[in-house]
Amino acid sequence: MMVKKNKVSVICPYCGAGCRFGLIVENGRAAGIDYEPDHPVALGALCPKGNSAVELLNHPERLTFPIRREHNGTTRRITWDEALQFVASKLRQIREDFGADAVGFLASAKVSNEENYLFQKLARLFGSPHVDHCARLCHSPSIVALSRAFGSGAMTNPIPDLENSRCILIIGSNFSENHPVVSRWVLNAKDRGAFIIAVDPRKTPTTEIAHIHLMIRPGTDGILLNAIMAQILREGLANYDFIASRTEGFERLKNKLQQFDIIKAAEQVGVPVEDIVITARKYATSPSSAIIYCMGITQHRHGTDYAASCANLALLCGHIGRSGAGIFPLRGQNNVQGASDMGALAEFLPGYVRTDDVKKRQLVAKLWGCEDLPSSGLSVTEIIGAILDGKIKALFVMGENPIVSDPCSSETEKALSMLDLLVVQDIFMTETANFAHVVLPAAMWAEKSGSYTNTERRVQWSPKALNPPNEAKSDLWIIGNLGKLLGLWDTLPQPEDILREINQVVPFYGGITPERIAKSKEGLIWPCPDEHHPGTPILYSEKFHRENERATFTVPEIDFETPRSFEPFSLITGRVVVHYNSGSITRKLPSLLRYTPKLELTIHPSDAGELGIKDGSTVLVKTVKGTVETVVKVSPSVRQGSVFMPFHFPETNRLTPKDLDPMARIPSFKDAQCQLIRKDK
Amino acid sequence: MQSMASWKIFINPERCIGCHACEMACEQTHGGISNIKVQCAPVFCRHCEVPPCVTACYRNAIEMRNGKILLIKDLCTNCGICVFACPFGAIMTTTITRQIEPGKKAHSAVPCHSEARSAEEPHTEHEKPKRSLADARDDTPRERQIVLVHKCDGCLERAEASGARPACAATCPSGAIECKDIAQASSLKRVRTYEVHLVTHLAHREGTSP
Repeated sequence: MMVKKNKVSVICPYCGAGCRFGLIVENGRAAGIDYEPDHPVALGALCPKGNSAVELLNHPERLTFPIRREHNGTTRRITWDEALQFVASKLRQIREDFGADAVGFLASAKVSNEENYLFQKLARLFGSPHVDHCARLCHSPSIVALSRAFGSGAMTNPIPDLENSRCILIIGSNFSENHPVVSRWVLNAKDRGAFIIAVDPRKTPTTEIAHIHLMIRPGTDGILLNAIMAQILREGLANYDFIASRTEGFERLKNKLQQFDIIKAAEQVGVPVEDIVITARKYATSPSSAIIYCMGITQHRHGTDYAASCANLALLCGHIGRSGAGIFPLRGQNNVQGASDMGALAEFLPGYVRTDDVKKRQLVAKLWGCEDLPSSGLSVTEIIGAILDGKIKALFVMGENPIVSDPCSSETEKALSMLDLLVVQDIFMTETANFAHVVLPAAMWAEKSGSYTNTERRVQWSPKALNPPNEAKSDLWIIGNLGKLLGLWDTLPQPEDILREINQVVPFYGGITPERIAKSKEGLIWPCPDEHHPGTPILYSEKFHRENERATFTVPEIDFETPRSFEPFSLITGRVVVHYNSGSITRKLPSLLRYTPKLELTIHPSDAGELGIKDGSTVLVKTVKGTVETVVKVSPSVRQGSVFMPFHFPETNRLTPKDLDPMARIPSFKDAQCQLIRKDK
Repeated sequence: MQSMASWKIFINPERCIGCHACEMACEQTHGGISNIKVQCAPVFCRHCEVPPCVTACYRNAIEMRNGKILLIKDLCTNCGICVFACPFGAIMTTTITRQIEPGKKAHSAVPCHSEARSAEEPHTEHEKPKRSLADARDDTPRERQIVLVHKCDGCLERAEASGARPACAATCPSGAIECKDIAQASSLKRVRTYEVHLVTHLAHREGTSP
C-alpha cells in the first residue's frame, strides 16, 4: 500500500518563542517531527512540549463533534447546524432581553491572528464591549507600563540578539523551563564574557545559569529595582546624554530615588547589599545590557509599577534601541502578542486603538462598514465578577480554560454555573467546557492556516498540514459561520483575506501580507508598514513611539517603605518545564505527564522540619479562598517562609487571591499567602 | 555531514537545562525507547574506537559501521554483559512487555540449534517436549516482561538517509548537545581555553573581575 507522506513546516503551538518544525504527515495523519535548523530563534531545536506535537494531534480524547449539555447535565451530540443556530438565536435573545453588553467574549491566545481578529470583530459588531483574553493574566502590566513609557508594549529586541548583550539581568523569568530556546542565546552571551544576574525568590534551572543569583524575598521586586537605580545614580553611572536627548520626566524619578536608603532596601529584599551594588555597576557600565522579565514581575498587586521600574532602569542607563540592549518581556503563549495586536483586549481595538478614543474608534468602525463601535469593556478578571453580579448573562469562550487559569476557582465555577449561556470552543473537554451548554470542537493549529505573532513581534505563517478529525472545524470556520448567522457579514472569509484586511486596519502590520510571509521561514517583525519594508527587529533605535518621540520615566506608586509580609507562608505559583499553563493539554500527554505526573508543593527543609512534614507526604494547603490537598517536595530551591506550587493542576488556582493590579487588572497570583496543615493519620 | 566516521556527539553539562527534550526526540526516532537519559546532564554512547561492549558480546550482536557502534536487535539476547562492559553506563535497559505470537515459543525467534526448553512454556498433559518451532501448538496469547538492552546508534540511519544530525543534538533547546567533527571540536576547545585565559588575564590586569 502506498504511504502518502509529506512534510509541512509549522509553527509550534505552545509558547511565545515561536519555533518552527517540520510535521511529517503520513496518509493524512501526524506521524513524526523533523527538526529544521534554519529557524533564526530555535535553530531547529524543540523543547519537550514541542516534541509532543504528534501525540497531541493524534490524541483520542479530542473533541470531534458539537455537544449540547442540558440543564440536568446530560450531554448529547448535535449537528453543526443545530449548534450554530442555537448559539446565534440564544445570543440574539439575550441581547434583546438584557443588552449586548450582557454578553462576554473570551478570545484565545492560541488561535491565529486572523481568527482573533474575526472574533473581536464579531463581538464588537454584535454590540458587546467585553472582549478580552488571557494576556490579562500575564503581561497586561507590560502592555500598560511599556506603552506608557515607550509608546509600545512589546519586547524591544529579537531573542537571538541576546547573545550580543554584555550584561543580562533576568528578573522574574524562568525561561529555561518556560521558553527553553532562549537559554541558548543567554548562554552564548555568557560564553562571550557577558555577566549574568538572576533575580528570583526561587532557585531554578534559569538561576543556575547566572553568575549571581539574588534570591529575593517574595514581593520585593519593586524595592530591589529602585535600589539598583538609586545606586546607579549615586555612583554617577547613569547615561545622562541619553536621558537628556531621548527621554523626559527624569527629575521626578531622580528626586524619589535620591531619598532611597539602599542598606535598608537590601535588608527588606533579603539579599546582601554587595549584590545590589554589583548588579547596579554591571548593568550600568556594560556596553550593552538587557533586562529579561516575565511573570515574576507582572503577577503582583503592583505588577504595572514593577514593569515600569524595569523600563525606568533601561532608560536610566540608555540600554535600549540597539543590539544587545533592550527589554525582553517574554510573552507566554504562541500567539498572545498577536491576540493583543488584533485588539482582543477590553481597552483596545486592532492596532492598539483605544476603545475610549472616539475619533479613532469611529475610523475603525467605518472600515467595518458601520457608524461606531462599543467603548471599553470588562477584562477577563472583571467578567467573572460581573457574572456574579448578574450583569453578564452569556459568555463565549474560545480556546481558554478560566476555571484553571483564573485565580480563585470557586468563584469562577460559581459564576459559570449562573450563566444563561456558556459556549466553549476547544480541542478537549476542559474543566471549563464541563460547564458549557454548548461545546464546539475546534481544529488544532496544524489543521488550519494562519499567521501567529511570537514574543519578538515576529509574524510567521503556519500552513495547514492535515485535516481536522471527524467534525472538528477551524476556529475561523466557526466564528465566520456564526457571524453570518448573526447577520454581521455575508461570506466566510479565508485566512489570507482576513490578513489582507488586517494589513489595512493595523498600520504596523501593513506590509505583512500573506504572499510575503507564506514563503518566509522567519516571518516578518512588526512594525512593517508597507510591502517593501523589511520589518523592525530592534525598536526605538531612532525614536520612541510616543507623540514627542521621547520615552518617559514613570514614578511608581508603590510604597517603598513597607514590603508586604506573607504569613505564615508566601505562596508562589508558577510553571515547570514539561507542562503548559492550565495543563489542559499537557496533562493529557503521557510523554510529558510521566515527568511531572502530579501536583507537588515545594517547601524549604527547615520549614518542613519545623512542621514535621516529610518529603513525599501529603499536606493541606489553606488560603482565604480555599483548601486543597497536595504532595510535598522538600527542597532548598525555595526560601524559608515561602512555598511553590505549579498551576498546571486545577488545585492551585483554587487558592489564589483575586486582588487585581489597578492599572492592568492582572490578578496578583504571586502575592498569595497560605497555611500548611499536616495530614496526620 | 562530510565524514560520518569522524563526528561525535558532545555534551556540555553547563548548558543542560534538564528539559528532557533529548529523551523525547530519541524515543520518537527509535520506536518509542530512548537511548539517552538526563541524569544531571544527558548520558549516552561514546562510540568508542575500541569498544568494550563489542569485545564482551558473545553473539557478535554489536558492530561498527561508519564510525558508529550499533547493537543489532535481531541478534541480541538481552543478556546484559555489555551493560557491565561499558565504562560510561551508556548501554541502557528498559523493561518492556513482549507479545508472544500464538504458536511460537516464549523467547524471541532467534535461530539457534540447541534450544533448551524455556521455563515459562506451560507444561500440560498433552504436551510433549518439542524440538522444532513448527511443532509448537500453544495458541493462547501470552505476554512476557523482558529487560530490553539498548543504546545510542548515533542516529546513523538518519545521517545516512538525509545527512540529518542526531535527534538529540537537533532538538536540544540550549545547545548543550552538539554533533561535531572531533578534530574541529578539539581545536575549538583550545581556542576557548585561550579565550578564557585571555579574559581572566586582562581582567586581572585591569583590576576588575571578569
